Amino acid sequence: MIEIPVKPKRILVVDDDHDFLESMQLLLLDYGHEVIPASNGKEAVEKYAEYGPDIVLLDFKMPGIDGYETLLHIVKLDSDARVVLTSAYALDDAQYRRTVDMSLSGLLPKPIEFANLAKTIARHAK
Amino acid sequence: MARLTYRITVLVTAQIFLIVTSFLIMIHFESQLNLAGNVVNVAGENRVLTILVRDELRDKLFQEGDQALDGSRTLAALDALESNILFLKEGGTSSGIEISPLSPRFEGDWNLIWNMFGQYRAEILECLSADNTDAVAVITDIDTIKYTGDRLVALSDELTDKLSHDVDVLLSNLILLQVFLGITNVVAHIFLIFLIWRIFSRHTAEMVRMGKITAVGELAVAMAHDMKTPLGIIQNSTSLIRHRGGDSDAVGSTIDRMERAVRKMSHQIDGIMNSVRNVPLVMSPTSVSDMLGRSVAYVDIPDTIRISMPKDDALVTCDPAKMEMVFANLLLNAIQAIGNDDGHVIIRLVDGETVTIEFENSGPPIPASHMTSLFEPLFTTKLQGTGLGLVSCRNIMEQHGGSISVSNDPVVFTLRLPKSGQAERGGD
Repeated sequence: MIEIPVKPKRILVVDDDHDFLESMQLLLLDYGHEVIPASNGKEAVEKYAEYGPDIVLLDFKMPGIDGYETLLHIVKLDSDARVVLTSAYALDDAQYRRTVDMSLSGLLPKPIEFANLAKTIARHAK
Repeated sequence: MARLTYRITVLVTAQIFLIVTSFLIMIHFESQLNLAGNVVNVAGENRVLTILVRDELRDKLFQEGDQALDGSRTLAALDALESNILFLKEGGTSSGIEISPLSPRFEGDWNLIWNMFGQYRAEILECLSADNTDAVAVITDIDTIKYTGDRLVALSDELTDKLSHDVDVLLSNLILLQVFLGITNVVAHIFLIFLIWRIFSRHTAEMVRMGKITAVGELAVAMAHDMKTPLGIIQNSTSLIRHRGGDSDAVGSTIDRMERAVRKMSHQIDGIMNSVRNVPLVMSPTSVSDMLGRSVAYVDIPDTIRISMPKDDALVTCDPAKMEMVFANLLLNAIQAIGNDDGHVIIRLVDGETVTIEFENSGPPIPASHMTSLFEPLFTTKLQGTGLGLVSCRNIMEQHGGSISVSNDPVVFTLRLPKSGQAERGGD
């Protein structure tokens, strides 16, 4: 087994799929990170304001406000926010493209290989 | 679309050419017919003029006193007849009537007329100069002149008939030509309509098929998010199991298999996704050599196949994940084409303003009938192929402002990629 050394970070994971959220939370916790789960955009913005995470793993297609709107709100709260988009495709092409363009910390489409996730966190988290 | 427009333009041009040519031929024949008709008129006029000469002579001879005529009108009528006969032979324009020279076929007829005219003129001149007091002699002269005049009229009529017959033949030929051109034009029109119909029906079929592909693509886009999330859960879970000590041989190999399955499913979904053009690119300057290395690592390469990598490298601005997908696809196709035989895949790289990457394989040539369909959606010769691999490759290359092409014997797939990354931003 390859152990990737990690520096514990506070990570906000946003996804409307409960199982995905939980599996991601367990995995990141196992590696010593602190995880703040949010199951929709509104909750994500609230939790960002409350916890000030080092990095956000953001889904795009969600009920209520989508990934793009969520991203706008987060950037408004913190202009130095680090956001990684975890959704690869979406129906609303233009909207998705804007989100990709705004997600300065990159795009990490599901299914995410852990090695890539660890690398992205190490490189982009505050 | 451009090809379709070109073919229709060619057809319509051919049709216009046919119509204009028909029109010009008709005009030519019409003018021939007019000229021939004029010749008939001129020949026919000989009859009138011959009789006019005789009438003028009779008037001169039988008028008395102050009303006696000096014969100048007879001479004028004779001159008119002569010039008409010459006009008939030489052709030219007179009083707006244009005629062509008499056909050599009628030279014999004309000579007879000319000789007869000579005799007619001689008899008339003799009669005019003779002493007219002897009534019996005058009447004898008149009878002789009348007889010659009648023969001249008969000869003229004969020529007029022959010329009229020619005009009739010309006219019936013209009618036949009109019918022929008419039929040709109708046939050409029917052919044109058939071709246009065929082009359009083929194009429509293509559009319908593309429409279906687009519909399938949109459905796939809609499903992607939902399918990738459960795959993400499996991926996260296998990573978790592995991290929690599931690295014993038995569990470790099971997890490896699960992760390979996840990767394969994810790749299949990507294949469908990339066959429709609404996946935005994530551009970054990347080393072609690195991308090739990752693609080769991704594909299972049998021991019988040797992969030859390019020695040089180039830096291009592209979406590396997408480009690796293209490389992996071409590599996989090459390996499948070689099959179980020993073989090789040679990857070449030419750096320039446009980076060219070639994938040559030692497999059999692509059948000529397949060459045109290679990049069409759903075209596959493989049992387990989706028919989307090369479509995805082409879409990805075009999205990057590049291209993909293929040449046979040996089979070489050539990718051309702008170095500076001129990605199309407009999605479909």
